[in-house]
Amino acid sequence: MNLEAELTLTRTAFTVEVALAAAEGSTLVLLGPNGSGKTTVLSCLAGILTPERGRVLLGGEALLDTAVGIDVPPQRRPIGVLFQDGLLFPHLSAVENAAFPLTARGIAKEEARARSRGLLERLGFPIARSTARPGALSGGEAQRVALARALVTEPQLLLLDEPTSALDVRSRNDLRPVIGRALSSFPGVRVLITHDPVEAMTLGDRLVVIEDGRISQAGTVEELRRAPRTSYVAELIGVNVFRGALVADGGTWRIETPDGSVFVADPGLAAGASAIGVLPPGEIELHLERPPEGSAQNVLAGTVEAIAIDGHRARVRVACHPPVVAEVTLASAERLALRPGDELWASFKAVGIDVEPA
Amino acid sequence: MARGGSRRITPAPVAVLSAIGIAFLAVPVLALVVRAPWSEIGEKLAASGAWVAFRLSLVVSLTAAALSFVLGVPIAWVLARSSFPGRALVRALVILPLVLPPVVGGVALLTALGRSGVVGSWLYDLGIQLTFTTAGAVLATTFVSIPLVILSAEGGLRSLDPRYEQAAAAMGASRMHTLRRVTLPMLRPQLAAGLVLAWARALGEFGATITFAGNLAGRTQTLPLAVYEARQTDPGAAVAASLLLVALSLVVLVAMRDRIFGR
Amino acid sequence: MRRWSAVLGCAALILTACGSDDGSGDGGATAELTVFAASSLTDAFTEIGSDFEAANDGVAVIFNFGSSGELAAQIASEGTADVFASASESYMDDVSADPGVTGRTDFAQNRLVVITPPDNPADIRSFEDLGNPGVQVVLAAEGVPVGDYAREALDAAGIGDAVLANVVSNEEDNASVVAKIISGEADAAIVYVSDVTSQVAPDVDAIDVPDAVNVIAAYPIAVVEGAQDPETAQAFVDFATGPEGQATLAAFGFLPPPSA
Repeated sequence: MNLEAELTLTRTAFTVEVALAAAEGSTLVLLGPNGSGKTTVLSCLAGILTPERGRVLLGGEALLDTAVGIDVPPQRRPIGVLFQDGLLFPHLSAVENAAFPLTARGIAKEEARARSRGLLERLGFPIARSTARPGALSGGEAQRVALARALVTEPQLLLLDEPTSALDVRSRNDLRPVIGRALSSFPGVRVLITHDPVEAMTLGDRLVVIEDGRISQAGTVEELRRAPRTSYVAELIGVNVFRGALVADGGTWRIETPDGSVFVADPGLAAGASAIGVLPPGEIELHLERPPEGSAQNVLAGTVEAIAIDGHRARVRVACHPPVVAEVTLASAERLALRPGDELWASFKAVGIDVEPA
Repeated sequence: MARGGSRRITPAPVAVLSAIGIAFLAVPVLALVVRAPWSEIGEKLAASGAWVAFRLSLVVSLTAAALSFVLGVPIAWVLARSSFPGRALVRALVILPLVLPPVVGGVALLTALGRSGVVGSWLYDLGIQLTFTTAGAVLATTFVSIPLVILSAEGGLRSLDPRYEQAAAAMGASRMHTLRRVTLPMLRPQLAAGLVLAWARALGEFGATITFAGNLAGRTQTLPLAVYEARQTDPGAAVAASLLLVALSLVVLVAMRDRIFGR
Repeated sequence: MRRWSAVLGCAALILTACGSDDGSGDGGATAELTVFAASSLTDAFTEIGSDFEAANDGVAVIFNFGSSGELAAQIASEGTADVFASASESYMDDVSADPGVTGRTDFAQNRLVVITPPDNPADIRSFEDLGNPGVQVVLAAEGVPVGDYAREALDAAGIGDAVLANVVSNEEDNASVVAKIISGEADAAIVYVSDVTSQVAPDVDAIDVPDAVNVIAAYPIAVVEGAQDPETAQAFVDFATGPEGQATLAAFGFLPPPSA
């Protein structure tokens, strides 16, 4: 049940022209700046928008093929959608919202409610609140309802448009694992729109970056991080990610990755939990000599693996444990006279690392 | 809404002008209350046939409001959702009865649907006469009430985020299901406002009704017509009947206030 | 700027003063005479009014036409009328009780007539035919003089119940009754002879109401107590009852008053 899509359509600001492919049981992440055309692509997959030219195949069956005039209307596509901003119907209760796709398909109210109530419960929605209207729900509760509404029909294609962007940091951290579990237990194709790199990296199998309506780069997280092709990708995905178990040792915390460990600030998570630490490359300082003891708790020795110049900035890949990418001004890169193979030291503060549960 | 929190100060000119305006609107109504022949109001109402007219007014205004709703909402839909040549003209045409003197509306209806009217003569040959009938009173009243439903519903449709309906479609809802379960419920405040305003307008309608349907107790004499007729013979009864009309309108408007015009 | 407007204002004042001096030979300013008259008198009194103005320099006649009952009520509550011309003695009685009248006299009479559309769809040939089943009859409402007189005449002819069962509308004034016949909406109506004006005549057919049952309505006129200028008001009453006024009224279908 693979997804294949080729779409071309003209919007007022730009032309969207993309080709996508995703395997059954995988999550495809669409990344891109605001207004780049991500939601337009999603709307075409959902059938809400019809492109000028295009083809959408799901499991080999055409949902759309402008060449032969096939355009299955949205209500007959086997899809589940979580819309940007949730778009819960304000006049329906939480459970009625979640049950809407079932009642819309003619399933009796009682059965539809029972099924969606069960699903809401599995997604961690407080079932006592199921008669509340969306206006009375918290952001996290509302998004759980929106997620339930997308999943309740057990569709073959799941489309999630920025499921966490409207939430504050705390509820986002609460919701992310819920979405992760929902995605990994969902048997069909998943397409997720986000502009949150952590979400893209934790939830996505393959990333597609869309800028100005076109795909600027596609690949795995690792591929994008190693060789970002645009400054947007570089900024977005060129972050350092430390994935591993949290270890508490005396008053200090660290994440132990398979390839070395880094000190982090108290993350407010349980020791032993698996976590992701995200470090922007600009937070790293490079030194030719071992720096004196200071505020930077992390001091790693390594060699220069690669240098990429991007405008007035230089991105330096350092082979250390764990490996990092540093971004320094071109001036300081020249001052250090860096070449691949040179030995150097990378230092960064523990508080510079943003720790999230994995 | 924001009670307590921020302090709101009403500027002096606004306070003064609003006080004058409220007095201007409220004093005539209070005058009716003061001058009503309270000691003999029951007899006055009975003698002037106000009760018969009151019952007829309820029937006519409620039917007209329902008819305005059934016809007005689809008109609003077409105006808000579809584009066709001459749409601006059509909108002007269907809103026209709102600004037209009702008597002119009555004359226009007479010319169209009267016994010798453009369409009416043809209906008359089929044995259907609308003038001088309760149905005619309902038509005349509907004619002036429809624009209020159209305006309210069209405004609601235009301000409704289209993404909700798209979402419903993407969730498997047919057009009909989306209309019944999403669009109409989300428009409920505007639809209710349109319905109540149309009803209130219908209840007070005079000119189009008397011109098109005439004035016959029990058949076409609604409460406003009864008030007008009583004015000549028994001014006290006219005041009593007016009071009945004011009370009825006021009760409904106050009851609907919070639900429709926002809290 | 301000000075110039002051000069202009003075100039305007002087000019208007000169104008009124030139206009009225006797040197008096224009006086307004307010006449409240039954709406059936609209055409006749409009002409009488302009004749009166022509004969009396410096007098402007202002009319308020309406149903007699309504006018009587307005006079009682507002008291702004100088002269009241009623289509019924009873409303003149009301006004003479409050606020009072002087110089009350009958100045015209009217009689009832049946009118039908020219094609006479209900085939009305006599007064009695109004009671035929299915005839759509329009009357003036009770309380409107012509409506009351019509009911009186129907009762006198013994067809009151039959015709009232045929009534489809009680109109608020004579003009509305006539309009229903002109538009062809109703089959027959009872109005005053004077309502069948020269403009209306081509669009309706008139059928006589027999003398035996016809109600001859006397039109009283009087100066209302509290008139601004009782002398001019009395002059208008005299003019209406005099040869010139009578000629005009006759031309519009009114009968001479009973005493004449």
